[in-house]
Amino acid sequence: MHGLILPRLGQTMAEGLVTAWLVDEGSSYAAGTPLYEVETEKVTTLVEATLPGTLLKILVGADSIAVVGTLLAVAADPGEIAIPETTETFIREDNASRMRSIEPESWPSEDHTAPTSSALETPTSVRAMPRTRKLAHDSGIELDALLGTGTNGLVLESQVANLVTASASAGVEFGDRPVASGGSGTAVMAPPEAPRPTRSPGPQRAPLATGVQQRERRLLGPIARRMSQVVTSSWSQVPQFTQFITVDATAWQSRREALRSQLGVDIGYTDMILDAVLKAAQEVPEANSSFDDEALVLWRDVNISIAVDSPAGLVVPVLRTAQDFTLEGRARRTRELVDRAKSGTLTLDDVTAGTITVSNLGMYGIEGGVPLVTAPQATIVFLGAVREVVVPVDGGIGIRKEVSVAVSFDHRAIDGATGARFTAALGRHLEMMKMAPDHAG
Amino acid sequence: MTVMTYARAINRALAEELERDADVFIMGQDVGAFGGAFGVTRGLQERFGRRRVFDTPISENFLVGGGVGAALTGLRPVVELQYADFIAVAMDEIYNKAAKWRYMHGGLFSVPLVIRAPGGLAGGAGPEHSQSPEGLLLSAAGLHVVTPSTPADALGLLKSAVRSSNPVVYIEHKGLYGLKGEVPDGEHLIPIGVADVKREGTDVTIVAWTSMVHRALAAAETLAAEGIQVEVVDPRGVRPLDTDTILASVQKTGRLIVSHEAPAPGGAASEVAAYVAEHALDYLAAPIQRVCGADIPIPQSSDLEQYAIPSVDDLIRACRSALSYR
Amino acid sequence: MATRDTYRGLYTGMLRVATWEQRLLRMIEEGRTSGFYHAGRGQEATAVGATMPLRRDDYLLYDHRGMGHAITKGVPIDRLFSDFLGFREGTTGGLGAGIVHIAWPEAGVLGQSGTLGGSFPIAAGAGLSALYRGTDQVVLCFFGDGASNRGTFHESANVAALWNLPVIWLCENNGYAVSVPTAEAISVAQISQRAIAYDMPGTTVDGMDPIAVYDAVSAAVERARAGGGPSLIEAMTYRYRGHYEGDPQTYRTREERDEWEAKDPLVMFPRRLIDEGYADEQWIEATRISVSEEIEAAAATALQGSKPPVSRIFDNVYA
Repeated sequence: MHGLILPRLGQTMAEGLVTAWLVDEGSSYAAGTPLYEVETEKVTTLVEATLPGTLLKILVGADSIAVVGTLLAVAADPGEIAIPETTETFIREDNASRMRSIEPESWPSEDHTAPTSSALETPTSVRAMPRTRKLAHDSGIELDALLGTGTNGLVLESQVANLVTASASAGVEFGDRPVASGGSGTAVMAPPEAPRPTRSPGPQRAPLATGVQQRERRLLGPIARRMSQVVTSSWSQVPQFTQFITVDATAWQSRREALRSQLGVDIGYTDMILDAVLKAAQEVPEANSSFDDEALVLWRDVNISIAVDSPAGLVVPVLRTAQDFTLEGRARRTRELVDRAKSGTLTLDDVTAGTITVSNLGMYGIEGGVPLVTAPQATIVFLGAVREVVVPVDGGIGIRKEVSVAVSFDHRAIDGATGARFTAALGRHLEMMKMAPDHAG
Repeated sequence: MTVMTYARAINRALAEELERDADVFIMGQDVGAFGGAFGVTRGLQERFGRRRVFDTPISENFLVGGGVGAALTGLRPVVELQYADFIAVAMDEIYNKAAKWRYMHGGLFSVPLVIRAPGGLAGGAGPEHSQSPEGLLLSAAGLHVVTPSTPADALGLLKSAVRSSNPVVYIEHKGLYGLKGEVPDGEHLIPIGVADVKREGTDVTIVAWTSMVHRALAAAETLAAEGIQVEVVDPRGVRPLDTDTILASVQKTGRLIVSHEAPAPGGAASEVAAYVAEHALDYLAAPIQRVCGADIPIPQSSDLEQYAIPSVDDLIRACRSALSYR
Repeated sequence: MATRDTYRGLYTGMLRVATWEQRLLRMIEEGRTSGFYHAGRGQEATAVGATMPLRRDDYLLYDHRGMGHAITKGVPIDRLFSDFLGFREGTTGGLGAGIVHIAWPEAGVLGQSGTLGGSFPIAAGAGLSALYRGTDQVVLCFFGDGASNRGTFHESANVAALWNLPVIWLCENNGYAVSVPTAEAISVAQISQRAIAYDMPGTTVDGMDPIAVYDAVSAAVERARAGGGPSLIEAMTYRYRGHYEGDPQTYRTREERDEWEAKDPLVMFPRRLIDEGYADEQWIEATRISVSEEIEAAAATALQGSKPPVSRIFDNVYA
């Protein structure tokens, strides 16, 4: 008999929503068979069987949220004949062993007279509530290094929680600080993830209208909750500004066809846009950056987050190290990412470490929009639909194709002029598509 | 379920226990034909006779000490102090005799005595007739102290108190006598020393007693509209104190407000605060707040007395303050 | 009225009490005991004379002076030693008891209040209980001249008289509340006068005469059993030792002590037994020997006891 445990599908995953079981209780399956679908903060994933077996009992049914490590179900090994009693015993013992394993190893002993080195008792000059201290202690964060943003310099729990999240996604130990890129040969850390709002003890719902009949109340799944958290923190914590530019897209069609015949690969507008964003980001590296409250960190890699509408909601796969690929390489990777986004098979690595975001709702006919910076990324690019406009041509009237582009920046670290350099470069690269193809890379 | 007032529920508890056990009797000032200073024992003498329900002189030392003597010799007295403030008058009998007689005499006796004591504000009753003196009894090892906040609790706790082999001080709130609520039909017993979570919540815990339970619930209702989920825990007494329930709640919410009418110094709120600080400090996301009565005697004026105890707004403010630590 | 057996019983009783106390004082000297002891030497006639008329099922609330009341009422004397020794064989199961807090429910010994005057309401409650349950049990409540000034006496005497409770209030007036003489603390010449205020019988008797005490209490018990209500009896007596062992006794004169020691019931009463023909020298001598042996045996039994585990302190807080 063996248990099916909810795996950690990426470093920051703490819990997942089991959305469906694909195998019924009593059914046998081979290793590699998809067993259930789980939605995490960032992706929806099919989890496959690692061992062959027969599903005996599902403990966490569909539409239930479970923390990583939870025993989701119990399965019989091939050839094993299981009776309900042994299943129950297995579950009980499994639970018991988990209880044991969560006992802390080096927590202050019961001996109250013995001095301990617990962070909880350290009377530092830093002010923080005990639970904040415990979180910091458990996460290895030095509270001394923090400048409290609460009343009278109180270090807030949310500050520590943000650091924990940022560190986890960056894969760094605390004590280090993100550094700006530049030194050749030095390892450059991956970009931080978006700050994660303090995990509040419970939903804090805004008051709704009373006396109005609800058609339905849709609980947000992890992906949607994630979006909600990220935009809320971006909106409330990141002062930002947006610049608009309209580019001439008349040549896009012919450029696309030329590339297609030249490279033998189907190149879409998305690929061409990503190409322009990459070039602009390389030209104005301040836009491919993150602000960490002290410094603007310029990233070496250009990891482009691509907003994709999927059946599960907004997902943002990341085209990593875009600068290391040729146009057609990027196109292939992008297509792969978008396909996986739409089918819900992105991995967590596919959705982390973005440094700049592109959102394109042109296919919906949207002409323009003001994008919201996705902290901690400093820049987001939004493109509208290609539309035909009437323009004066040589004293007469002509038709040309235009696209509205809006770029939002984190104003804490990027000023208007720097933003303008990026926006102008982006416009230039988008319009340069009418010129002959080069070999990007 | 039957809807009845808090006072009626106490009356019903007394009647049921008088009916059930011939060793149970009631004595106190005006509890007989008059029916009690607040009408709580109305009809009992008429129904059970002068032997079972009778008036006493104004003699609180005798009332409680005599209750101890009767309890030591096989009876189950229910004595009524007209006001809980008079606990101070009979303190030697409560604190040294009722509470300790069993212990100091080697466990040879049990003291099945109930001391009913109406406490709390009652609209201009003044500094010696409005107090909530349960804090005075916090250190009375050997005694149980219960504090019902609803008609159902009033019924179930009093019946359990009468059946207890230990002395129980039953502090009923005068201001709640008219409170109506659903009361289970038939036998209804509530174990002594078990808290009741009157409302579940995830963001902040209010531990409150008697009248403050209702103010806490009102505060919770207001805050719920803002998406703040307040948990209201009614310990239903101070001895024994259901620390398990309180700890579990604080571990969940990380925020604790403790509220009673009596001033904070030496009160049950301080005891709860200390206990939580000892056992769950690292769960606290905000400082513990005691939202208690002002540290003054209670003014006589019925207008002014309201300012001597916490209001719903005080509790709401405390919750907001606790939630500002994030 | 007192018969030959009564006389002999009173003497034997007083001798047991005094001998027991003597043996206890040796244990105290040897440093074996814990707690305080307020010796009753000199007051045996009151303690024994007043308690002897009771039935085993009558209730007793004794006072701070000697263990005469408890011994006479039937608390096993070896267990009494054990209480002072702090051994688990004591009535308190090893918790320990000084002069207060020894109880023996099967003999009606309800214990004692450590706060002076605290026994009055409890005695009244026990009397109320007897009346409520329809038994003819009576309650004997001892108290000193000092405790007679507590408000609890007034409250309890009032309800006892008001409701005809079967309670005998027995004041052992030994002239001093620790160091303060009665004349400086009490508004009336005799405490028995206070009975007038409650419309109950009040008498003052010679507390050094066991027969006088016995007769007065017997009459009161009879009256109470018959539903006649409470009585107040004041027994004039004297303690030969200090309030506590080690009391410098600066508050009283040698002359006064000599005067009262001349009335020692353990010296005077055996003479009276012989003079009035209730006993002879041989009986008296034989009684001395048998009482000594009984007490020695009880002490030997008690000294073999053992102290309880520390966990004992957590027992019996609640039922």
